[in-house]
Amino acid sequence: MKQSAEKRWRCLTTVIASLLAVAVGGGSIANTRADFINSRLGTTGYRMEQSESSGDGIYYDSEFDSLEELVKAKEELAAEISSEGSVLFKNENQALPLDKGSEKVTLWGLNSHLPGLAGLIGSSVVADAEHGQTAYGIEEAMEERGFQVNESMKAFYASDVCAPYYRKASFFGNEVPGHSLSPAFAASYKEADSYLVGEAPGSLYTDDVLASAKDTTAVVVLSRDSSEAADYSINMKDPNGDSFERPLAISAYEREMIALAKENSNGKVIVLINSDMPMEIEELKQDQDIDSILWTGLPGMNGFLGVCDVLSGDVNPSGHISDTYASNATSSPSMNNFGLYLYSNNSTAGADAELTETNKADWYVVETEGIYVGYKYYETRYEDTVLGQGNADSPEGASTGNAWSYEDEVTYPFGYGLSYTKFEQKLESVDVSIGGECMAKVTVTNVGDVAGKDVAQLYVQTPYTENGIEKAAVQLLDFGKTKVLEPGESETLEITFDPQYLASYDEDAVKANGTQGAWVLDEGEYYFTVGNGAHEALNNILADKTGTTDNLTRITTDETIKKENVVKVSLQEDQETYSVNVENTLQDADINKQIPDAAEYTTRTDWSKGWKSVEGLTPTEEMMKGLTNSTYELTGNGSAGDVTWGADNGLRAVDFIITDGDGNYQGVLPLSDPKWDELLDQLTMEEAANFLEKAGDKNFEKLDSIGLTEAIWYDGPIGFSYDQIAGYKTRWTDANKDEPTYVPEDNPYAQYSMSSMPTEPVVAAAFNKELAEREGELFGEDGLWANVNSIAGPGLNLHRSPYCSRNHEYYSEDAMLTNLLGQAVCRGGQSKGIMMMPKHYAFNHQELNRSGTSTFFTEQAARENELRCFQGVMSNNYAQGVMTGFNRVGSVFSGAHAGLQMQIAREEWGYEGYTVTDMVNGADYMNWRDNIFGGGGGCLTTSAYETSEIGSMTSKENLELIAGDAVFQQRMKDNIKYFVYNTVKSNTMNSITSSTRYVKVMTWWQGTLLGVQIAFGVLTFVFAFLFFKASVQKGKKKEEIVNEIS
Amino acid sequence: MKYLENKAIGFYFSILGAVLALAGIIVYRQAKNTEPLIMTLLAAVVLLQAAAVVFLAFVRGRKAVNLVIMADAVLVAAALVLSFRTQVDALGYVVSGLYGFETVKSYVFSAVFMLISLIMYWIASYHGFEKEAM
Repeated sequence: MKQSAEKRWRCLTTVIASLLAVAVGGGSIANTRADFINSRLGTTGYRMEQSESSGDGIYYDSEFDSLEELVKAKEELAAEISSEGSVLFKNENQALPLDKGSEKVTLWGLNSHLPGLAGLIGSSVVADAEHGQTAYGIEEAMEERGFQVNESMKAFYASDVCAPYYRKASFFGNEVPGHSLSPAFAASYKEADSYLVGEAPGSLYTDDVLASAKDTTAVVVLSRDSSEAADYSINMKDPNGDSFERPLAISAYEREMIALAKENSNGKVIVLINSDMPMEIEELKQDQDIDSILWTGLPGMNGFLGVCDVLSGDVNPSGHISDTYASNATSSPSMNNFGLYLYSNNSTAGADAELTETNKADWYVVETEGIYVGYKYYETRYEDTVLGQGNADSPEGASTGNAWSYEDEVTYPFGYGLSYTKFEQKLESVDVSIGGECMAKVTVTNVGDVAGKDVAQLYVQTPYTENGIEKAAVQLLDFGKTKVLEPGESETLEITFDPQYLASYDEDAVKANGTQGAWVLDEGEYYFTVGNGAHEALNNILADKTGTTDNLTRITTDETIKKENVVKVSLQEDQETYSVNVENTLQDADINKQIPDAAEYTTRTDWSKGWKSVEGLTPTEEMMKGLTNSTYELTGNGSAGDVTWGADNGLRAVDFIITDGDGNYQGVLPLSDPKWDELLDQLTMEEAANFLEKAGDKNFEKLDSIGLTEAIWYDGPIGFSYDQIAGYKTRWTDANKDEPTYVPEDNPYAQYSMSSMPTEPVVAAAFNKELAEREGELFGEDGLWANVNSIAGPGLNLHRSPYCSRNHEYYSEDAMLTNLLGQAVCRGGQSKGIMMMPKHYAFNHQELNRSGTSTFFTEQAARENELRCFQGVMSNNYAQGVMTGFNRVGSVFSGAHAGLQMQIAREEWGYEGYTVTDMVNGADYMNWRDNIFGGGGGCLTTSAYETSEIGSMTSKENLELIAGDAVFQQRMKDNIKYFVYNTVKSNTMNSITSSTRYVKVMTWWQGTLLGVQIAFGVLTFVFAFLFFKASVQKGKKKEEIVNEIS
Repeated sequence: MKYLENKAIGFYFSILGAVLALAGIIVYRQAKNTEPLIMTLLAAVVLLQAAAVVFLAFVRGRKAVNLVIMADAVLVAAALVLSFRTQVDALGYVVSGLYGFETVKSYVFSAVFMLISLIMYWIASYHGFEKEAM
């Protein structure tokens, strides 16, 4: 027994001591992530105490009395955006609207049963229908809106017969209906080769099913998927027996289904394009048996209700497409350099490998198209074919292989859309004031017989000289939308626009101060016009320039050409007005400046050029610095002690809020006030380092030394996403229960998803700034009712390529449409106290290997396209934060590119918002040192650096290095200052007053962990004692036996 | 073989535990993890075990050597839990679907090795290194 006791106590001591180690280690891990755990469990690590107060501390209050009101308002707005964002491409014989009282419809196509609502994964995913909330597909929406729908066809599509053909993506074991892309977060060395259209073969339809559709109107649904972390590829094949020429073209099964729909209907065939990817639908446009085509995009949880309102005529369509619908999407010049391109010394190159897997630098893409993205390519080349210049009709780039012609290439141009009524637009005047504000007046008259809204799109053509600066033949400048105009009614829209966007960027210009690079207004005639899309607008200009319409191409039957709608304004040359603080700063991202003649750019001088893929680049020594993540070093820049930390200035963040005598919010001290620096001086360096390297997950760390609570952020842009099931309740704790927008657990809407708005292309197609601003306001309301302070949205990247499957998170191929809608959304959000954090600044143009891809471009293209998308929100400070891209800019990580983050954003635009990386998915190339040095700010991770070469920013060694580098320390403080300034301006401060004090408390889970540690500690001690005692007794016993024997 | 005559089953389990700890180090390194503390803890397990094996070749019947088993168990447990600290982000991303399992596969294997090593040491701690005379 004694021997067994010793073994027992020894074993128990070992086991319990091991568990003690686990409990202590686990407790330590949990406590370093206490904010995150608290946010998930609804607990809090502090208690707020108010001793006295000069107000209730509610700086942003809701316009709604209850959460129910907000939820209803959001549902209605989402439907409204979709109704205004649905684009009517074709409507022969007035097939639309439908008379839902007398007209029975059959929904055709398997994707009518599983339509796309938003993205597959990532930040634009709608929640499943649950908790009483409905995710409206077209079937559910038609039922809700009272359509008579053929139930036999619905039952057929829902049956097991069709199930094998459904789009059902498999994402890490989860089945995701209605999607079929294959997202990948890891490095990829081949493009995707599989895409399931999700249509069933025609042979599957039985006679009974087909008979049920006779005498009904056919509503055909065609759909293509969207997703983060995936792209389309011309290599794709359908794995389920279907076939297509290209994944965005109509597939064989879709053709079979459409043929059946035409044969088995009352003769009326309507096609819905349920896709944010520009599908190739020229054959539908030409098909006489197809009466109408309505683009719905991916409309989110409630958007199909709005689509139904358009189908029924309850809402007259007024949407205009935000991307060119090309007959072959691969004819865009950007498609020549989109996808997978490997450096010759990539990590898989065997003996030639110089780059390592850790560098995340094997890939690059050269944007050889220059400024000619989307319609700026198609329309500019069209003008040059009309004017007979620049080899525009050469076969290079023609999808037919013949001489290039506009009508072969474009099905529906950018900005195009029909209505159930007819409008006439007259450009009354354009007043241009360089350095001031400009205004165009457009009178819109409803000359049809149905009430409706119309969009006035203001375009400009700026003077182009052959071999001069590249210029698009036409570009959108601004737009306005009318109210609902009754038949015969007119409205004059006053469209104010910013004349700086008339200027082109000249990299070679030398300004009066001797610096190179300027925004240039060339001397000459500026043609202003309006039109139903870019093509009609350009035709107006060409009619004026050539004096005839004979050579002009009309690609839609409704197109009118009116040279009377052109206003010409003469301007003098000017390269100074819009060039204050401007100079070239992205030259390192022009591959030809790194490797001479590596790329051939698209140019108006000769359209036969610019069609080569740039392959097999070998990086130069200079490029290798960025590619191997060696851009900066902590080398003791400046004198230690130059930067103040840990000062006792007695300031608190709340002191910077300005209130009136009644405690009503009046704003905050301006950022230029030196008191902000005094506040920041109170931070300790360790606190600052911890804050910057842990700017995620979903919360910004609190800063105790300045009395700033944690700020909670969620991903966007269609609402608080990625945590779709979180609902309104999740972020509330008892500490906040006195706030007027507090949501208790028993609120019937407590678990409603907030990720419910239509995707951005739908918002863009509405061409309605007021709706976009209202969307931003309701994001802000969601923030108030969900206790969230920031949203990573809107997405403002350009639709550079039609094959980027993340285009659903961005508005358009046009920079100005993106710029203006971004401003509207952010303005709305900011007015309600939520910090809008657009993404991904900048050049995140493809998802394949987005982590680390080197992106090359010309500085002119960058500034006139991609950066113009962000310029409005950042220069006006409607954006209070931005998220940087995963990609490199040139060979340097985007967050670490000082030209992008500091020169352009801060010096040129005067941006006062904070900056944070995207999810740290490659801790070495997205390392904190380069990121902070380069102006990139916070790092979205909680622990990624602990396993990287650079190590944690808060390690003893790194803190010592930082302590010796004053320049780096100042960058740290600058970045945090932007964050603190904006957070104090936000709803984060709600309920905090000058008398608020935080008292740290132990949460139940921390108490439990401590209890477990104590219990294991005590047990270890007891068992160790018993083991020791048993050993001693056994030893004695043994001794006695030995003595007895001897 | 005389060396093995008096060895208890715990001796073999402890060697197995050390081998698994060594495998843990190798796989942990393969996952491009370089956290020095984890490496040190696991290396200490292997070294202590090796020292005990050598010690037992020269000295018999010293029960105090069994403390090595207890120490190794605690060291492996500490390595296991601390290795998790560096993987919280990645594991969270896998759970939420952002990362594929491939991203953390090597780490998970190394953690499984450490866990089994820990269990081996628990078993070894009951039996001890050497059979005891009755």
